[in-house]
Order: sequence, then structure tokens, then C-alpha cells
Amino acid sequence: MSKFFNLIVNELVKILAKSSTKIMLAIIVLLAFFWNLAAFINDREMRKIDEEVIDYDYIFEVYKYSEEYESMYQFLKEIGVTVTSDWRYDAMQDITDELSGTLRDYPSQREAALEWYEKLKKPIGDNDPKGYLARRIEYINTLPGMDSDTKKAYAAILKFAMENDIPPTRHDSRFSNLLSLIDKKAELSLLESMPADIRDTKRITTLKNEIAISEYAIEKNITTYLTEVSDEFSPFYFQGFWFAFSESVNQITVISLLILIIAGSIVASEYSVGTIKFLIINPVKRWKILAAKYLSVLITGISILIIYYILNFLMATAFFGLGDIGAPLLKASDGVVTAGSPFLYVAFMYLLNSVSLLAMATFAFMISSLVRNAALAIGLGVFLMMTGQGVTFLLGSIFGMDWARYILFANTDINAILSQNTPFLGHTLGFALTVIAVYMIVFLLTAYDAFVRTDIK
Amino acid sequence: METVLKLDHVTKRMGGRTIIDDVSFEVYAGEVFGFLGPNGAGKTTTIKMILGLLSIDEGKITICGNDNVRQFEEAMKNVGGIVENPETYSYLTGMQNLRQYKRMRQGVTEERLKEVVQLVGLENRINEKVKRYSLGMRQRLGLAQVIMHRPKLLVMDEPTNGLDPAGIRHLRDIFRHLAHEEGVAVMVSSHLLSEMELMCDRVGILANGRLLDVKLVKELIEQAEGNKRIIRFTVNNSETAVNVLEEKGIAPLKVEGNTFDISVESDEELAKVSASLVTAGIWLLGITHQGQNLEDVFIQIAGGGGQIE
Repeated sequence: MSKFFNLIVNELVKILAKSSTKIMLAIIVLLAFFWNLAAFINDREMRKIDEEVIDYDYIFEVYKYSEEYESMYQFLKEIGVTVTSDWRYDAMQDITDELSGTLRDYPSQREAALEWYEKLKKPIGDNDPKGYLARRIEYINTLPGMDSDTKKAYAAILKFAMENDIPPTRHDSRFSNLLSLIDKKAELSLLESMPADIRDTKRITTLKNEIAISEYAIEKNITTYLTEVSDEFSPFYFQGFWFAFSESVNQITVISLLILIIAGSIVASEYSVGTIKFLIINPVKRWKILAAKYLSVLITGISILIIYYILNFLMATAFFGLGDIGAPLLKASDGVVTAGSPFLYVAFMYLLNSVSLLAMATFAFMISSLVRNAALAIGLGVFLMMTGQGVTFLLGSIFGMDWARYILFANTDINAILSQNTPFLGHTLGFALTVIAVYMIVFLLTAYDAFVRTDIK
Repeated sequence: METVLKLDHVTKRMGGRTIIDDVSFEVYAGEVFGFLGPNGAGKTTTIKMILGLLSIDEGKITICGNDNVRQFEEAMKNVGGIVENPETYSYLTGMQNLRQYKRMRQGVTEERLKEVVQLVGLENRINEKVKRYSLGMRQRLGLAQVIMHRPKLLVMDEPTNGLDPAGIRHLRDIFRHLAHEEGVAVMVSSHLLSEMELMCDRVGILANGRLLDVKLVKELIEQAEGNKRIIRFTVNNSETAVNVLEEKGIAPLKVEGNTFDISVESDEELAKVSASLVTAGIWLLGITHQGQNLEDVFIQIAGGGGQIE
């Protein structure tokens, strides 16, 4: 056993000493840096749009607004609103939208609408969000063109916001959560009113879980959190740190290329420089040497992923700070919400995205041992990794070939399978993992057979 | 004498051709065994079978009593070998290269590593990357690699290839030291007869995949001495001299300018040849003995089956 451990040490020493490995590590560091830099620039732009400074001169000179909006901007300027993230900006926009809608669609209610407009404007002018919310609750009931259920729901969230000091603006995640609850609840009641045989039960479950999570976050006063959005199976985030950190998972494709290079050359390079002879004439059976090489590829792959994970954490911290680090990951099932660690979740996402990496590394390893040519093994591996998933998707979706589900690449995109986004019916995770496992066994047996039986000339 | 390596009716076929045909021989502890044969005779193939690089179609090879196929690990514990060129990992240092092999073998200590580094004379450069080594240094590193675990059998395929005369002498000294002082069975292949003569105690002669004979080098030399000697004459007019000799039924082996070689069986014959040349009025400017004619012996054994350089 210790001898086998020594074989792995040998392989790792060789991998680490190669200059190509050092170049790879440099690429990984640069990749993490530039990804986080891009995320940071994007975040800055998004915030700039979100907290835009209102340029009144520009508005009054260039745009020709209708009377109501003209006076809205006049009013905002008077009461000293300078940025769009101010709650009063949103509130004024809301009531002005509603006024102009009523004037257009219900001209008969002109007087009442104008009266309410002034009433609502008062607390906005006084910068009194609670007073505004209180009046708004009253006002909702008078609005034409809204059914009573929606009115009730709307009034309830406004009341909740008023009682909990939540400013009535979309820039506050709790308030925007409250708003989204109304839409989701409306959709849910619509779906549930459908006859049982055409009811979209999947969507109903999703909605119920989303509603549960939103209510949980509002109740616990959680402003930043991550959640799995079921149809995307990717985290939903509000802030820069978690966006940068969790979406770094997309660069695993690039990491795969690096690991493919190691897997494709680890056997072939021994042949190309002739060191294979010196490896074989040691008192170690050939299969042990091969197994040590394969395990070393896996260890290197896992190490690179861990390094990339840590690098991204450090870079995201450097760019965004640790302000959001305590954000929980909220999961719901059957309406019961549990809070977990998003670090574990991101790690899990790394793992899922590595399935295709594992399959392709094993494939390149087999080719490497079969044809003893690193360039061919790596090239074939990269080519299949790039085209494989696309081709099987085409076979399945356009040509309707159901057997294509047994092709390796139809099963390596675990994200697509989890979100049911594959051209094959009833394509489950279990099926995909079984197919991958069978392929890997075949690959490894082929590699074993080639390596153990061939004469070394 | 303890038998370390034993080949027992070994046959190897490749692509329908029989490369090695029913070869049997033994190599004993404490001797340097020369494996002699022209290029293409099957020396490297035989060595690769001994080292487990090639499969064996018929027969078997045992090393210290262990079958090298069925008891591969046991057999290989006692073996060190270099096939063709001593390949090393050029991106590792000399020491890192040695540690690679240390990890695969049992009982090699750090002290032993230092000892072998000293033995091959690399102590000043051992921590440098191998890519900066000269060919000779790589060969010495390769040797350190294969003797660090004190193998009972050392198999070297054409070890002197690419070495300068000093390097060849160093290697020869190491082999003789290992065999005669440490009791290692050393097997060395070569196509150079002169080299074998200096290095080996016994030689096996291989041609066209068949083992033709196994002899002590002493015996070979005696056979050569006992047979014929090559005498080189330098004269003032070789054309006339050759005519004189041919009249007496003696054919020269080689004529080159004013020199020619003839082979003689006895001192008496040499005296007769000289006398007849002098009688014919030819000036004898030089008569030299061209050494033992091992090549002749070899060609005799090999039946002209291959060229020896």
C-alpha cells in the first residue's frame, strides 16, 4: 500500500515539476482575477443605473413630458430628491403612473383621482414613508380595475411594510420581495383554479416554494440571500460578492481544458521521451502504475478545482469586501424553508460542473494509453468536449433519435438534466450518472488493457 | 556458481517472423557476461524480454529463481537495467530523478543514494535539472538509477554507445567492480567485439535470433591464437610482392598501398613467406602482428551470418 502511495507521489512530483503545470496555475490565477474584475465592473455599472443621479436640467430641457410628469419632476426637485434610489422617487413614479392611467382610462373619475394624488403627495413631500403607506392602504381600495383579492393582498403587504419600517421602494430587497409575493400568489391561485387534469403541478410546487422563501426572508428580515431557482438551478443573488463567487462555476470549462491536457499526456509523455521503459522495469506491476497515474490526474483535478474555488473567494473578497458573507442559502420543500451555507452550495455547483470534466479526462486518459500520443489524446478530448453536447442535443431534439440518450455527451451536462432541459423524455440524474459510470468503466478497462498488454518497443 | 539469470528455450515472434528462436543461456553471479551479435541479431529484443518490456511467446525467463512474468514484482526486485538510451525526466533534477526510483524500490536509503551518486561521479551536479546535463552525464545518472537498489542482475543494452574513450573505461571499471567485488551478475550487449574482449568474462554470440555459442573470452582468444594470425607486411613494391606470394599459393587478405595482410598458421610459415619475399628482391620495410583475430573466430562461429564492426 505504501508503495502504491509512493507511485502517486512520483506522479504528482512529475506533474508539479513540469513547466506546463506552472503555466496552468498562472492561467487559473489570471482567470479568477479577470472574472472577478469583470463582475466588479458589471456590479458598478448596475449600481450606477440603480442609484442614478437625477439630471433635472436635462429632463426639463430635452424631454417633453406630459403635464403630470412635468409637475412630478418639478415636485421631486423641490423636495430635494437627487437620486433614483430615494424612496420618494419610486413613490412619486407610482402615484403619477396611476394618476395618468386613471385620467386616460376612467376620465369620469378625474376629480377623485386628483384628490387622492394630492393626499398621497403630502407624506412624500414630508419624507414620511409610514404616513404614505397608511394613505396608500386606504387608496388601494378605491382603485378601479383591480379585483378584490389583489387589493387585499396588496393592502396586506403595505401594512406589513408600514409595521416593519420597510421603505416602499424596489431598491429595498424586502419591499421588492413583498411586491413579488403579490404576483406569485396571484399566479398560484390562477393555476390552482385549473381543472386537475391540466394543472401544472410542477409550476405550482415551484411557486409555493418561492413564496415560502420570500415570506421567510421578509419575516426574518433577511435582505441578502441566495436561493436555488428551480428552473435554472443556479443561485439567485442580490449582491456583487455572491454573484462573482457563485457564477465563477462557469469557468470550469476552461479548467477542464487544463485537466484534459494533464490527463492526455500523463501516459503518452512517458512513451514520447522513452522513460516508460524505466518505469516498467521496476518491481511494480503495470496496472499499479496506470492506476497511480489515473488517481494522480483525479487528485490534480480536484486540487485545481479547490484552488480555483479559494482563489475566487479571495478575489471576490478583494473586489467586493465581506459585507454579504453571512447571507444564507434558502431552500424550500413542501413549504418548509431551511437556511444553509452558500459556500457549500457553491462547492456543490463546482462538483456538478465537474462531471463532464471527469468523463472527458478519463476519455483523454484512455486515448493517451491507447495511442500513446498526447497531442491526439488532448485534441480529441477537447474536440469532443466542445462539440459532443451540442451534437447529441441536435440528434435528440431535431432528429428525434431517442437512442442518442445513451451517448456519453447527452449525460454530461448535469445542470441541463436537473432542470429537465434535455431533448430526452424522462432523462433523470440517476440515468445520466449510470451512463457516465458505464462509459468510465469501459474507458478505464480499455486503458488498462492497452497499457498492461502492449509490448514496449 | 550461483545462477542469477536463466533463459529457458525462449522464443519471440513479431508479425509472423521469429525474432528470437529457442534461446537458452545462464548468467552467473560475479561475472560480466557479454551478449555479442551484429545489429539486428535480436540482442535488444532478448534484453527487453528479460526486463519484462516484451511478452515471451515460448519458454521462460527466471531471475534469482523467480519467473519474470508470473512473479514479476519478485523477479524485478533483483534487476537493474538500461535499454537503448538511459532516459530521464529532463524537467527534474538528477536527485529528483533518483528519488523517483527510490520510491518504487524497497530498502534504498538516502545514504545509499549519496553513495551511488559518488560512484558515478555526479556529486557536483546532482541538484541541477537534467536538461542541462551532457549525454555522458545522463548516462551516468541512468547507471546510478539502476544500481541504487543493489540488484543481483544488471542488464545493459549497448551501454558504451555515444561515450568517449574515458567514459567507456569508467563504465568498464564500474561493471568489473560490480561483478568481481560485489558479486553482481552483469550482462552487457554490444556489437563491438573489441569492447567485449576487455570487459567480459564470458560471451554469448547471437546471430539471426539464434544463440550460436557461449564461451569464455579466454577460450575465444585461445581459439583465435590457436588458429591463425594476421601479419601486416610493409614493402617497397606490393604488386610484385603479391605476385610472388600468389605463385606460392598464398593469397593476401587485404592490399593497401605498400602494405598487405596475410594470415599465417605458424612461425615457420611466417619465416618461409619472409624468405621468399627477400629472395625475390623485395625490401621488407615492416612486419607487424595484427593481434588476435577474434573477428575471424566470430565469423567462423556465426557462419558469415552478420557483419561485425
